[in-house]
Amino acid sequence: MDFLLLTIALLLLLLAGVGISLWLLPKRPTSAAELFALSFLFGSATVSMASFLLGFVISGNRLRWSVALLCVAIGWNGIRQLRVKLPHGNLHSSKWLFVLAATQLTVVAWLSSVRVLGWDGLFNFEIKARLAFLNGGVLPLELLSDPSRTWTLQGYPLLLPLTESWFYGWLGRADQHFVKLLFPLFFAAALCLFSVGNRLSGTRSWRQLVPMLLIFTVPSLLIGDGSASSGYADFPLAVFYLASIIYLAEFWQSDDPTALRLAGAIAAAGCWLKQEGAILWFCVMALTALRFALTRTSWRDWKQLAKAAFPGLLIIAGWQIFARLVSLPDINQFSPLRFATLRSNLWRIPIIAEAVLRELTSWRHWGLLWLVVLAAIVWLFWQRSRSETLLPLAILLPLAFYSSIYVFSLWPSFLTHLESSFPRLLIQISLVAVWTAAVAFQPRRFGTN
Amino acid sequence: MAKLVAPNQLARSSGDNYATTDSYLSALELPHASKQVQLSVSNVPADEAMVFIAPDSTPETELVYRTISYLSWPRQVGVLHCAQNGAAPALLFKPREDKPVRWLLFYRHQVPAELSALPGIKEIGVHLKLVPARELKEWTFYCSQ
Repeated sequence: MDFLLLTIALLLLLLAGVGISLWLLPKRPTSAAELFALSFLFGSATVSMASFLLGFVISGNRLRWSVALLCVAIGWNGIRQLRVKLPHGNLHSSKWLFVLAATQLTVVAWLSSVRVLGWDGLFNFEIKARLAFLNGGVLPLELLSDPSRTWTLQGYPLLLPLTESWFYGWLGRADQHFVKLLFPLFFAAALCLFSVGNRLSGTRSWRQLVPMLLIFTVPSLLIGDGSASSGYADFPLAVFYLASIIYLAEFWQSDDPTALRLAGAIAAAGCWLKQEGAILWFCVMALTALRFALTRTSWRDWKQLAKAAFPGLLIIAGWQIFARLVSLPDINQFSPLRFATLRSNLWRIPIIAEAVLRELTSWRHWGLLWLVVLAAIVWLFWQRSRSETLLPLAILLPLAFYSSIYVFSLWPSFLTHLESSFPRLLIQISLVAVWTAAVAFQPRRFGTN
Repeated sequence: MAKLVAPNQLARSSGDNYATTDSYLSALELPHASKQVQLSVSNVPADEAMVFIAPDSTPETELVYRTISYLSWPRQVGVLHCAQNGAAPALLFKPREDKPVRWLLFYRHQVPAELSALPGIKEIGVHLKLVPARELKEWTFYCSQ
């Protein structure tokens, strides 16, 4: 019975996601894998956002059924224009692709099942899901002003807790075991997105296996803080970022404004998942602006950027307004970004650089990923193809942000701050890094066809 | 902090509704610890707060405190770490002033003699005691025992 109820909850979530995906996808054939990945990402964003907004006026079964009806309505609207086309091509490699994906997914599901939730997974995310479930699907406002629970990081956005709460609502109980089944679905979405990336980069034959093989050599993505099995938001955010960069790459390649709109919408959903989502959203928008600056500067093109930026701005501004209205505690871990602070903390830079380098080369966390990525970045820049500079920049830009922010750390030891949080920040850009390495490995890359 | 308690995260799940919190409360050495904690605090009125008094602030203690706070919702739970390297113990995650502290949770710490005779003390395993405290003393008093 539990699995039946969880399946209903998942199907409704996917239905909402299908509707939104089909509305936003560029007018071209769409594979089932692509549709699943986008449906899961947009579905979780829709269910959590609808629960949050409707939760101001209704709760309990009325809220759950209202969200369910909304999912059906959005899904029905999308299905009317369904144009799914199954992937074609080398059947032999597709078979191996499927076997490899199924094996990896089984391993991640097993890891999720046999391990307990991580620290943040329980104390930042699942706790809010549990309390929302106990309060009829609505996060109790008392939690947000509870000074004894500031360690739950009340200022974090709510995509993950309210998606978990959606499943609890259908299950009829909060369950620290079943909730972990949500995270292999993000892993499945990542694998599906790699297949979209393969299509975009014109990858054929056994080379399609490269990103999947590479992802499985990275311990931090599979187990430990922030991994796909930990219940943290970092891996899901990595999936959102990968999706937004893939569609941004499609835009760089095709100039199709719908691809840009899709990239903007996915990056915006990332802002609803975790605060760092706003940084990644900014990177996506900055790369879009760079593309326009390099190619053309007509007013109409800048309007495209504004349209793509709008959903993210709406979510960031909306959450900030909500935070002020409910007086969310502002836990400052960083000082304001001022030139005077930068000047007085310049001495930290070599120490930070050394610590960052140490982390990137930690084979126990990352295997050889970042060394491979470094080679890929050098190779892609060497090619001097304008369209191929996107991927290195999509790694280097957030990496620069994430590394330099510790210059402004307010922790008594900024190095301890870095060592406790930087590995998780790296997870957020690691899937794009995996894809970049895979693209560099291809003889024919995106932008050249 | 998450990094410091990583080994707990790698603990095996029991597959139960409370798989994670039971694992995080393993220091209580109590079967079904989550349910027992919830049952014990269920008689504490929602508008009364509790303070978790611990001998130190090790990652293990922090994990137990936060898990108990997680399970005690909607009651607010502050924490008092007694050993502060010579500094006076300070109350962290202090409950709101309209939620008076009426209960103390002594974790691996001796209950002061004048409190141990009071009725209503609940033992949650051998390491944790829930003690009613109608009149609070200075926080140093609870650490000096």
